[in-house]
Amino acid sequence: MNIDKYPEILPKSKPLKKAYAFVMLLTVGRGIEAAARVDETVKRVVADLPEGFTFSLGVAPSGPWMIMQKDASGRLRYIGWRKFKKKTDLDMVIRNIEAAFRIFTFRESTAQAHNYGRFSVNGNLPGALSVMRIMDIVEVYLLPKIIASLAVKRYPDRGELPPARKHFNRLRIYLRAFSPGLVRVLYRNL
Amino acid sequence: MQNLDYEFIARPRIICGECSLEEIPGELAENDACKPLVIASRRAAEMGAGKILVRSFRDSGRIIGGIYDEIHDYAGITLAREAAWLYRQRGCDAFIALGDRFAADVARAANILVSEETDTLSPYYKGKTPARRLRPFILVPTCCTGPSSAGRTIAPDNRRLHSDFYFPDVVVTDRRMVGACSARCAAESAVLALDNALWAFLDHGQNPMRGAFAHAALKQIAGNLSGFLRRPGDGKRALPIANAGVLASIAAANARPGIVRVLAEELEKQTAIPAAVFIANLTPGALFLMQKKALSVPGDLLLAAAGMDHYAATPPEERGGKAVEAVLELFESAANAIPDAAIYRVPAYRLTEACKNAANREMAGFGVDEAMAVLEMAKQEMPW
Repeated sequence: MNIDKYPEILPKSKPLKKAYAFVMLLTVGRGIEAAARVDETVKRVVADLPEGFTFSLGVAPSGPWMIMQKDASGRLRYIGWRKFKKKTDLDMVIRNIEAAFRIFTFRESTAQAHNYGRFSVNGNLPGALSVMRIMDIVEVYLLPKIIASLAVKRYPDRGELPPARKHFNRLRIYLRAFSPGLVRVLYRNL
Repeated sequence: MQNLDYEFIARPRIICGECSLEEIPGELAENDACKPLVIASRRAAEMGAGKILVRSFRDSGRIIGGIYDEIHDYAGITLAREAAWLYRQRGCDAFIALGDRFAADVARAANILVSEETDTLSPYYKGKTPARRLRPFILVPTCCTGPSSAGRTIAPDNRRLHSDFYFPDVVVTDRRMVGACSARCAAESAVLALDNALWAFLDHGQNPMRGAFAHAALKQIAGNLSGFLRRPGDGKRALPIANAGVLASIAAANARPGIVRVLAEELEKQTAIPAAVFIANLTPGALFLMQKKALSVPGDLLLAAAGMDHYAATPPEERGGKAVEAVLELFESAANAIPDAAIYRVPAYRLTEACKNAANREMAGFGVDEAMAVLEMAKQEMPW
């Protein structure tokens, strides 16, 4: 039998989808850091997390990743995208880049994606539920209603989140997320 | 009274829906494998299924050991040996079968050869079974008979081998793969799934697990068959039928094979005509004989085949008969695209030989006379 008739196949990569996932994770990470200083609900949830709590959200097998840590002062910080040598209390891993692309283009909400087995959670399960709650709130701030209602389990009504507060907090979160602190984070990770 | 004294096995993990193919590298990792050998049927390879599978591995960090696509319409031991040799040469650690039941059978036969470190299946033809779990095996059914090969029986060189270890570890049904190449192919896959589900339902000693799988399969087929036959190439319409095929084959793996299936397989061996052709032609006669013998048909069959409204509107004593009618309607709608067996003019001696072999099969549960009666009943409807 001629073995060369059946060559080995090394599948290629998906650079555009990976780049898109990277940008989304960076934005969400910085958004979570900003929302933890702006929104009362997020502040309460973060206060309940243990000090030094580190979690990561990313795409198997080789990234991109978003790593966040609650520091000694109680603030939730976006550490970066390099998972190397970082010990995490909670890992949320999206199983493949296609699933990540479906989640980040809002064809599935985070809860739906977990239902369909698109990502796995390793570590502190109560912490995972808190993180999912924070992410839902941040997505409400970062995205317009028409897109956020696809991404979150339940969009808050006017009684829970009055429009004036929503838009004001949205502005504050965007300003903090893309502040000069972003340059420091990028420099540290490059 | 429900039978709660039973055994049931459903080994495969079934993944269906969007991005199912992209789950394969993760499933390999969970089975401690990283380099699969893909064994594809020639028809699936020509339809581009191999390229779609390779594309789904992008960014997974996995290497594919090769795509062996020499399988046409026969699962021979020579092909299995070649695949096993390629597996060893490339240092692979898992198998992926892509295509119809012949590709699945060759992949599993090759799996036996490499896992048991042997070069022959002769001891297995005499009843030996593997002592331990085989290498990871993922089934990706395409159109035709693919979904019906998710059971525990393989047939290399037309000789049947049974073991719980022959179940696939994972079955991945994706709409990019399951669209049928022709109306006939669609009808044959639907008929095989229907047959598996029906006789799993009707086998004696019905238990809740087998009933659940058979019921789900029949319900999927009843609700989606007409749409699938109208547009067989549409993956979205083919997916429920493929799912039904997988569920039905698992249910059938936990039941005795029906008389129609056994007879059709023996006729296929004698004549090289696909078994689905005979199943479509023999089932009406077999069901009629069953009714004539006053064998009871469970009323739940009507619920699965015709829906809740029809079931609720039928008095309990009539449900068995109505269920048979509903199932026959499904067979008839599928059989429209399958050629009538009469056109092949099967010689009488081959029919008799097939009946004898069918009756002598292990766990057949019927005699030669019964098999001949089914053939006679089918003949009355069409002149063989």
